[in-house]
Amino acid sequence: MDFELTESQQNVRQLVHWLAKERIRPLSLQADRDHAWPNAFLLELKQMGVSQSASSANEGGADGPKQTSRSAVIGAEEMAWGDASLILTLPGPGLGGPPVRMTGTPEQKERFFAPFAKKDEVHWGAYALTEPAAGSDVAGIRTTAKKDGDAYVINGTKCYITNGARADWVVVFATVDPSKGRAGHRAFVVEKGTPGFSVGKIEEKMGLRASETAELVLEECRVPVDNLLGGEALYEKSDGFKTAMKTFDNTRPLVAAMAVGIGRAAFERARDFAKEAYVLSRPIPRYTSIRAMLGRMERRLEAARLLTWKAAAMADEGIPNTKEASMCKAFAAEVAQQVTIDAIEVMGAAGNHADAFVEKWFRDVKVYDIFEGTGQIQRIVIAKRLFETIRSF
Amino acid sequence: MITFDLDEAQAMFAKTASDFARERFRPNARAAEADGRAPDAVTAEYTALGFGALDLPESLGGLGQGLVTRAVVEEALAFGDLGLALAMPEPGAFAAALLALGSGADQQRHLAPLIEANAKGGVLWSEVKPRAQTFSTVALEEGTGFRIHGRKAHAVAAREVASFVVFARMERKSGEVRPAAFVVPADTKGVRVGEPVRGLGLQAAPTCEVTLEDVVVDASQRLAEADADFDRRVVEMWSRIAIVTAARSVGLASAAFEYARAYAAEREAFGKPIAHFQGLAFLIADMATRVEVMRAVVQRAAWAFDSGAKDATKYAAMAAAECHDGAMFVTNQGVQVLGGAGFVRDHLSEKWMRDARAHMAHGWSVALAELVIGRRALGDDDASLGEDAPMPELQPVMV
Repeated sequence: MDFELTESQQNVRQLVHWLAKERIRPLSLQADRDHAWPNAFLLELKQMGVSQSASSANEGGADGPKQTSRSAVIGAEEMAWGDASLILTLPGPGLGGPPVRMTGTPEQKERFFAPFAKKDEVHWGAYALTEPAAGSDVAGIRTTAKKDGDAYVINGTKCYITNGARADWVVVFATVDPSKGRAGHRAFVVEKGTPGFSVGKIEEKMGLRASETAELVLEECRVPVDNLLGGEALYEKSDGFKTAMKTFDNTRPLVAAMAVGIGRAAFERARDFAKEAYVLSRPIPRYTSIRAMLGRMERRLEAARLLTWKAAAMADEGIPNTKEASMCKAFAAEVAQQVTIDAIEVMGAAGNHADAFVEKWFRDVKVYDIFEGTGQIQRIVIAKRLFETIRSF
Repeated sequence: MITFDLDEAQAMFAKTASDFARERFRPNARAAEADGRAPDAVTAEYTALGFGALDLPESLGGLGQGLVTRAVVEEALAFGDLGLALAMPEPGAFAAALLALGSGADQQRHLAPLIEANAKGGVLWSEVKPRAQTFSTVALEEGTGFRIHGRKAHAVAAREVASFVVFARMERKSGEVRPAAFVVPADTKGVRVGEPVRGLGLQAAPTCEVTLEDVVVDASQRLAEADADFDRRVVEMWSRIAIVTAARSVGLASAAFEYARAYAAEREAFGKPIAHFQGLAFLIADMATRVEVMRAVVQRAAWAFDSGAKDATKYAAMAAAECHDGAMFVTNQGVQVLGGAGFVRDHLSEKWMRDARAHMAHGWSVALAELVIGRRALGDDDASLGEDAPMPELQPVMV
C-alpha cells in the first residue's frame, strides 16, 4: 500500500500544474469564445514537449512503462484543471493513436506516426466510430467497406469526431458484412484528401467548445488495402471490434482523471470565493452549510481520484481493469458534475457569470458522462464483469 | 509509488480474518443478534487469533502492525458479521484514547495489561443528558484525586468491558474548568453498567448506559499529559476510530453487495436471471463501484495515518463520510435487489441494512466529517469556523 507519487510523477504534476495555471488558464475563456485554441500556442506546447496524455500513456515516462498510466492520469488531472478542451486539442494522434499502436503493422505505425515527429508543424489523428444511428451501440455501425481490387470502398457518415476536420488521418470503423456483426468490423486509416472523404458540419456544443467536433462523410471513398489496420491477417484471428474496445480500456481512466481535474478546478474556485466573500459578518448557518458542502465536494473528488488511480495502477501492472476503468469513469463523471453544480451554488449568482470560470466548467464536464461510453454503458460493462458466471449474460 | 496492493503479511492477516469471519461470524450472526452477545466459543476462538492488538505497539504487547493492516482485517471481520466483530474482546477505542492522550507510562500501566488479558476496553464520551459545549459528567478535584459523577450513553457491549476511558468536565480546586480523560476500571466502586438497550442494529454488541456515582479515582488515573494540546490529541483519537469504523463499513457493504450479486444471478423472473434486467444490473454495478470507492478511501486514510502525514485527519474524515454514506447506500440497495425476500428475515440483507444505519452513529457522522474536511479547505485562519475537536455535545458511539 502506498500513495506517494514517484519523483517523476511529482515533477509531472508540478510542471503541468504550472503550465495549466500560468499559460492555459489565461487563454481558456477566450478559446471557449473563439471555439478554437490558437495554433501558435499549440505549436509552442508541442515544442515544449507537452503531448497528449492519451498517447504518452503507452510510451512510458522516466519511470518506465510500469508507471505510465499512473503518470498519465496525474498529468491529465492537472491539465484538465487548466482547461480540458486543450487536452483534446493537443497535436498528436489522439484517440486514433492506441488502435494504430496496438494493432497496426510496423509499416503502418511508421507511416502514420511520422507526421507527429515534425518539430515545426502541428498534426492530428482522429478516431471515428460513432455514427448518427450508432452511438454507444458500436456493434450497430452501418458504414460499409467493400473490397474492390487493391482498395476498400467505404460509404457512411461518422459524427462527433474530435479533431475530425483537422486530422491528417482518421481511424474509421466500418463493416465488411453487416450480417456478421462484430466479426465483420474493420478499422481503416483514412487519410485527409482521399477522394470521397469530406468534412460535414462542425458541431456547436454546450461545452468543450474550443475542441473541434466534426462530422465526416465517406462517399465511395477508396481506401488502399495497405490502410486496413493490422492488415488482413489480423482479422483472420481476432476481430476488429475488440480493437475498438481496447482503446477504451486504456482511455477511460484518463477521461476520469480529466473529470476530476475539472471538478477540482470548480471546487477550488468555490473554496477561494467562499474565503474571500464571507470572511466578515456573514450568517453562521449559511457559512456552516457552505463549509459542509465544500467538505463533501472535496471528499467525493478524492474518492473519484483514488478509483482512477486504482484503475491506472492495474493497467500498469498488467491486471485486467475493464471493470475498474468503467467504475472510475462513471463515478468520476457524476462526482465532477455534481461538484460543478455545487460550486455555482456556493458562489451564488456570481457563479453564472461568464468570467467566473465555473459556468464554463459546468458546461464542459457534462460530456464526461457521455463520451467514451455513457454512464449507462459503463454500468453495462461493470455488470457484465460482475455476472461473467451467468452464461447467458 | 501509487499502489493499492497488500504486502504479504497484510494479505495473510486478511485471509485469516476472512476465513474466520466466514466460518464463525456469519453462521452465528442471527443467534448473536437474538442473544445480545457473542457465543463463548466464538469469543474464545477469536481471542486465540490475536487480532485485538494487531495495530498496537509491540512494546505494549501488540503486534505492531499499522492501521492499513488493521483496516483490511476489520473489513474482513465485518464481512462475516459486524455485530459480532464489535462484541469481540479487544482494547478498541480504549486503545485509541490511550495512544492519543496517554503518556508512555499511562499506556504501560493501563493498556498493556488489557492487551495481555485479551480484555475489552471502552470509551465513555456520549452523555445521557448532553450539555452544550461541555461534558455533563463532572470530575471534581478532591484530596489527591477526583470524584466523578455522571451518566454516560452508548457504551458498546459495556457488560464485557474491563476498563473505560471516561471523558468528563474537570473542575479543579483552583477554579479551572476543562475537559479531561480518566482511566476507570469497570470494577471501580460506583461504576454501574445498565441493561443493554434494544435497538435498530448491531445487537450482538448492544449499547448500555453507564452510571458513574461517586466514583473516586486517583490523580494518576487522569491522562494528564494531554493537557497541553488536548484538542489535537482528541482529534487524533477520533481519526483512528474513524478509519477503523470506516473499514468496518466496507466489510458490511461488501457483504450486502456480494449477497445481492449472487442472488441476482440465481433468482429468475420472466424466464431469466434478474441480473439481466438493467434496472437491477445498474443498481448492482453502482453497489460494486461504491464498495471499491469505500475500500480505496479507507486505504488512503489508513496509509496517511501510518505515515504520520499532516493531513491524516482530513483523509480520516473523508473515509468516515464516504463509508457511512456508502454502507447505507449499498445495504439499502442490497435489500432492494432481493425485493420482498430482502425485507424478511430469511436473508441477512435486512439485518445488514439495519446494522448500517446503526453504524452511522459510530465515530464521525457524515455531517461532522464533512465539516472537518470543509474547515481544512477553508483554512485555519478563521476562528469562527469552530474548533477541530469534535464537541462534547456530539453523541457518537465509539468502538
